[in-house]
Amino acid sequence: MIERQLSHSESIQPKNSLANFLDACSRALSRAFSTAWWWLRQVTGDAAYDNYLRHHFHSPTLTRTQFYRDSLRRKYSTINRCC
Amino acid sequence: MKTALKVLIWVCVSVLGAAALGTIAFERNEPLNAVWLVVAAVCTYAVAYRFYSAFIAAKVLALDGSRATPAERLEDGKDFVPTNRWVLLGHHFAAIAGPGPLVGPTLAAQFGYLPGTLWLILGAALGGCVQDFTTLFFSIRRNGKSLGQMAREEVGKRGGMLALIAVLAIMIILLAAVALIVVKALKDSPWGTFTLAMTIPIAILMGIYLRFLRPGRVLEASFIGVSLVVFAVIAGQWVNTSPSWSQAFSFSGPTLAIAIIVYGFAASALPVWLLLAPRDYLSAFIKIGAILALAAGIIFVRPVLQMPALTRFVDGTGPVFAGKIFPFCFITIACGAVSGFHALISSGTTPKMITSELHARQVGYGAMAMESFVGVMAMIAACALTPGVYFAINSPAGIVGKTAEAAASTISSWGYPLDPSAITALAHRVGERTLLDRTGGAPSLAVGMAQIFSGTIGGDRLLSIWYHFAIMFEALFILTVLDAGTRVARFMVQELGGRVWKPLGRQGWLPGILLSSTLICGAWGYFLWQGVQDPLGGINSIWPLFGISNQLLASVALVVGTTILLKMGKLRWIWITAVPMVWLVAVTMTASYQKIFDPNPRMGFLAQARALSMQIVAGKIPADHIAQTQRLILNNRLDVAVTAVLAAMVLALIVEALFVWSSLIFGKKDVTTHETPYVATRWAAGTGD
Repeated sequence: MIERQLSHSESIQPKNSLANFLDACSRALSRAFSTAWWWLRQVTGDAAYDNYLRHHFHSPTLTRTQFYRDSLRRKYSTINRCC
Repeated sequence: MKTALKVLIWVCVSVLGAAALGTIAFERNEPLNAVWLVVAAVCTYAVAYRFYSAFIAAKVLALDGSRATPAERLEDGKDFVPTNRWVLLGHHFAAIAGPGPLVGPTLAAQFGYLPGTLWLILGAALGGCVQDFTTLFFSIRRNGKSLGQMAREEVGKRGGMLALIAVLAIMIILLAAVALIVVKALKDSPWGTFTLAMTIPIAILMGIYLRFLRPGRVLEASFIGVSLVVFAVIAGQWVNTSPSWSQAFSFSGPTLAIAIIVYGFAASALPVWLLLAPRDYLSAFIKIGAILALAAGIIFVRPVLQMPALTRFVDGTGPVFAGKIFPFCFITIACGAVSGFHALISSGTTPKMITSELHARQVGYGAMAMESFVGVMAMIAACALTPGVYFAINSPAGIVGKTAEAAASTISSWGYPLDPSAITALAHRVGERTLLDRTGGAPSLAVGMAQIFSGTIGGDRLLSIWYHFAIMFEALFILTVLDAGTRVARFMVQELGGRVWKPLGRQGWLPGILLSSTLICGAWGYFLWQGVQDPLGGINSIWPLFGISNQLLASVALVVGTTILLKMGKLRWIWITAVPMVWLVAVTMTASYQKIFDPNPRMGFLAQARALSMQIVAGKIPADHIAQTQRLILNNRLDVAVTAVLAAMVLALIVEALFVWSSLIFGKKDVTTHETPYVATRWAAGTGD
C-alpha cells in the first residue's frame, strides 16, 4: 500500500568517518526530498491517475483524460472547501 | 529513563506555554513581541494534541486500529480510497483552510490582541479541534455519512431537509461576505484589479493545458500558472503608473460588485476543467506559499505588536463591527477557533479516505490546530500595525469620515494618534491611491503581511509588490471559495428544487443549471449589493451574520456528537463536546438576540430599520436616496428573518436532542447506534504510514 519508491545509492568503502558522515547526510537528504516530492504529487492529485491504475476496480480502464475529468466532476459536486 | 526524559520535555513545554500565555495576558507596560504569541500557540497546541486528543482518542472515542474503515471495506478507486495519513492531513488541511482564519482575527483585532488570541488558542484546543475530531470519527463509523444525515439518524427526523436549508443559507451569507471583502479591497485599485483579472485567462490557459495537452499533470500546470501570476503582480506596477491603463482598471465598488456576480455565475456554470479547477490549483499553491512565507517572515522579523492588549472598543462601540467582547469576539473569529463548516468537511470526503481510525486524531485534531495557527499568524500581522493605521483602514467612511484629515482627527480623538500625511504616505508606499474605507480585513492584513515580508526581503522598495502579492493571494483564494461555493450551492438548489419540480433536479439540463445559478448568484449578489451601498461598511453586518450562522452549525455538530457519545455509553465523558456546545449556544443565541433586538441602530437590525424609517418620515433623506434607504430597511428586516430562522431551527434541534438525552440517561430509550458493524481490518496495525 505504500507507494513510495525509494532509491538508495550503493556506496561502498567510505574512506573515513567524515566521508561516512557526509555520505549519510546526502543519502538522508535525498530520501527526504524524494519523500517530499512523493507527498506533493499525492496531495496535489498529480499522482491520482497512477494510484487509480494500481487499484482500479472497473473493467474498462479510464484514460488519463477521462479519469481527470471524472475526478474533477466528483470533487466539485460536493462541499470541498471551507470558509 | 526514556519516560523520565519525555516527562521532563513535556513539563518544560507546558511551563513555557503557560509562561507565554501569562505574558500575553498580563504584560501591559511594554509592547509585546509577536514571538510570545507564536510560543504560546505552539506549546498549547503541542500539549493539547499530546494529552487531550490522546485522552479523547483512547478513553472517549476508543479508536480501534483493528477495525476496517470504509476506505478499506468499500474501496472503489474513486471516492473510497485508502490514503496515507500525511497525504490525507494535507488534503484535509487544504479543504478546511479558507479565508476565515485570515479575516476573522484581523477584524477581531479591534478589541486588541488579547481576546482574539486567547480564543484562537483555547477555543481551538478545547472546541474546534474536538469538533473536527469527533465528527470525523463518527462519520468514519457510519461509512462517511454527512453531518445532516447523522443529525437525522441520531437526533431526530426533523434534521434532513432543515439541515440542507441551513447549510444553503450559511453558504449564501458566506459567499456574500467574501465577495464584499474582495470588492472593498479592490475598489479604485488598478494594480490589484489588473492582477486579479489576469488570473482568469491564466486559469483558462492552465485549464486547457490540463484538459488537452497534459491531462492530470497538476504540478506542471500549476508551475506555469504560478509563474504567470507572479509576473502579473509585478506587471501591475506598470499598469498602476500608466495614466490610461490605471484608468481602465479602476472600478468603483458597485461596478466591481456586478463584475464579481457575473464572474461567479460564469465560473460556476462553465465546465469545471476550464476555469474553476485550475483556479483552485493556482490558489492552493499560492495559499500554501503565502502561509509558509508568513510563518518564516514572522520568525525572522519577530515584529513587535503595536496594537494594545485591549482597546477601548471592548465596550461595544467599535467602528469595525458593533458589539461587545462577549459575544462578538467569539462570533467574529469562527474558523481558527470553532467552525461548523469544518464539520461538513470532516464528514465529507475525508472519512472515506482514511486508512485507520487511529489516524483520525492526527487528521481531525491536528489539521484544525494548524488552521488555528494560521489564525494566530493573521492576528500577529494585523496587530503589527499601529492602532491609528489599523482603524484608518478598517473603519467605514460613514464613521470616521471620507478624507484622511477627517479620519485622522476622529481616530486620534479615540486615543489612537494618527497623522493624515502618514496614512496617505503609507497608501502611496503600498501602491494604492488610498487605504481609507478599505473595510473587510483583507487590505489591513495585506499591509501587515507586506511589512513583515519587506522586513525579510527587499525593504521598503518592495513594499508595494509585497502588498499586492498579499492582496492577490487573498483575493484569488476568496474567488475560489466563491466560484466553487456557488457551484455547490447550485447543486443543492437543484436537489431541493428537484423535489418540487422534477426537471430542475436533472444535473445536465442547461435551463435548470442556468436557473439555479441565477437564483444562487442573485441571492448572494443581493447581500453583496446591499453591503457595498451600506455607509457603515457592509462587513459590520454581514460578517457577524456569517459568524453566527457558522457557529450555529458548530452547535449542531456538537449536539450530534454529544448524542452519539451518550448512545455509546460515555455519559461520564460527554463534557468534551457538551461544554463547548453550551458555550457556543450561549454565544450564538446572545449574539442573535442582540443583532435582532438591540436598541442601538448600529447593532440591532430592527433598530436600524426603525431609525432609517424615521429619517425618511422626518424628511432627512434627499429624494434621490429614498429608494436606496428603503432597500436598506428591507435588507435589515431580511437579516432579522435569516438570523431568527437559523436560531429557531437550531433551538428546535437542541430541544429535540434534550428529549433524546434525557431518555438515554434515564434508561427509557433503546440505545440503537447507527454504526456499521465491526469488520476486522486485513491490514497490519500501523500501515498507511
